[in-house]
Amino acid sequence: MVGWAPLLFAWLVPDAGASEVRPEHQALLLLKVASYDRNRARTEGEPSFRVLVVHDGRQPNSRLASVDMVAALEALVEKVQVDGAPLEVRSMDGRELARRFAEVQPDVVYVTPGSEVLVPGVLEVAAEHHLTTFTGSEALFDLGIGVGMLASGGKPRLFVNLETVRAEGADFASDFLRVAEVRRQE
Amino acid sequence: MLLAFLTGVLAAEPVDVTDIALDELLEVDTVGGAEGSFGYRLQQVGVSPWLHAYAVGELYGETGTAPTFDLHYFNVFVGAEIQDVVVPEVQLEYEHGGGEIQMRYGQVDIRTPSDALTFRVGKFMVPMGTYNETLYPEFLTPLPDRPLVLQEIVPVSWAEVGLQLRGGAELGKGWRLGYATYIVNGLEQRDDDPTDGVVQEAGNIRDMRDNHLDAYNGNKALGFRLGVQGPNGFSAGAATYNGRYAIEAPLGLGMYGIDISWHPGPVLLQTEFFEAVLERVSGEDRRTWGSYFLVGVEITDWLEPVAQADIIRPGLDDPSQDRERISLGVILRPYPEKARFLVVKGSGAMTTYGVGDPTYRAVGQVAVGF
Repeated sequence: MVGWAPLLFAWLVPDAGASEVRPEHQALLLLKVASYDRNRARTEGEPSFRVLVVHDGRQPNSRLASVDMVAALEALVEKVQVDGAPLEVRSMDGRELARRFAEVQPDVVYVTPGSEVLVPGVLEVAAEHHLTTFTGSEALFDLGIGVGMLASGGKPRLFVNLETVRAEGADFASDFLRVAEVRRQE
Repeated sequence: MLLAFLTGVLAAEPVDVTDIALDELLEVDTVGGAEGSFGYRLQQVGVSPWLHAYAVGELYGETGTAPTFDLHYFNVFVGAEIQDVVVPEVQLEYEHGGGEIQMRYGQVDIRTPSDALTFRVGKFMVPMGTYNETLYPEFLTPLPDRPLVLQEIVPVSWAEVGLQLRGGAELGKGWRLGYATYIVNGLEQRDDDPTDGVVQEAGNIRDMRDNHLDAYNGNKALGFRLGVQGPNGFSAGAATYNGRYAIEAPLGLGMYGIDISWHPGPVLLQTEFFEAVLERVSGEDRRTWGSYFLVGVEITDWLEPVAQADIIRPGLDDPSQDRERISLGVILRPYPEKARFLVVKGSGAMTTYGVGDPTYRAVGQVAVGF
């Protein structure tokens, strides 16, 4: 069960996701985008599609965002499948990702806002195990997270760090890349 | 279909994301602060808030003063229940048309798995008798005016800042034992110059409230109430309070009391007795006591006549402050089914003094809790 205690401290956090894409919406986008990954599609037949939400346990806003995202994903468990596979949702402090990876074995990783210091470590694990990384935070996307689900002009927009997703082993269909804003390393 | 997902009303059959159009997902408006706000998030994790209030309007007059209308209270309750384990609540008091604004209480109850123990922290109503803690809102009180003892000895409404442990246990056959014990900053007599060596002592207890911060006297007051509830609305309890009240001398204020209430059928019987002892430097304590006895009869569900006798002995050298009072009143509930907490009350009271002529007071009151 997700603890409520972090909420007591989160009042001090200034942005509170004021202009983010709603977690419920991010959750659907994440699953939809994941379905465009042709490399991931080759693993079809696995018992479930696992989304791991990682947060920085030392940051109240990151913990709070994890609560939101996990709730949004869990709300879809009974409603949505990904390429025929039922959805599973896990969460953990990103600092434990490398150590506990085998225990969870996710298909994709969502990194919550406020987890900036964890990005290098998460990207390393993601590249090693071929996981696509997602975020709803522009700051995290700028730090290199693979797919950003960000608000722009009052609508959700998809952003892709091409080098990152390639390093993570993703092969996105052109249908997806056509609607996403692709960022290449300069 | 997307809207159905986002609002959680999708049909029972799971849908594959491959059947959802990406374009559709990208056309939904993003929501800013309104739903990305703390309130929205708190609601998502099981915080159930509430907003309630009560309003009291009066017209009163008494011997020697001009009759006046008074929006006596318009108090707001804001609280929440968090997963059935934490219950914070604040009562914001707007008295006399907003001329006096304060926090009557602001407390957080932290429940444990056992009914025998709940922690209460913050500023809470002192469990000295039942009136001060649970009966004071005017939509619950039988008469418009409080008994004298509950103005001058138990200074209703009396709240203190500190920590309280409370709970209870079922005794069987409809009986329940309850307790409350607390440690608080406590009542403190004001001292304009707390370093002049002049001890301010044995003053008006009511003026000792609102000691929200112990700036001078670090001693804490302790209190305890043990009560029992039974069938037919029976309730009885005994309570005590002890603490240092003077800033420049270690003078104690002790308060003791009993309360009994019984509601057999349409009849309400209610009495409370309190005594307070304020130590003086001279050793001659000021001892003050008071009591009231109230009887009401609910003739119908909308009509309830009430009578009350109360007495107070302030323990002052001036016997003119010794008082007895007889009050007669009536409670009307215009909509007993639809709006039980809408009451219209009227009362007339005669107060006699140790010295001097009696005084008379009449009050009309409308109170509603909502």
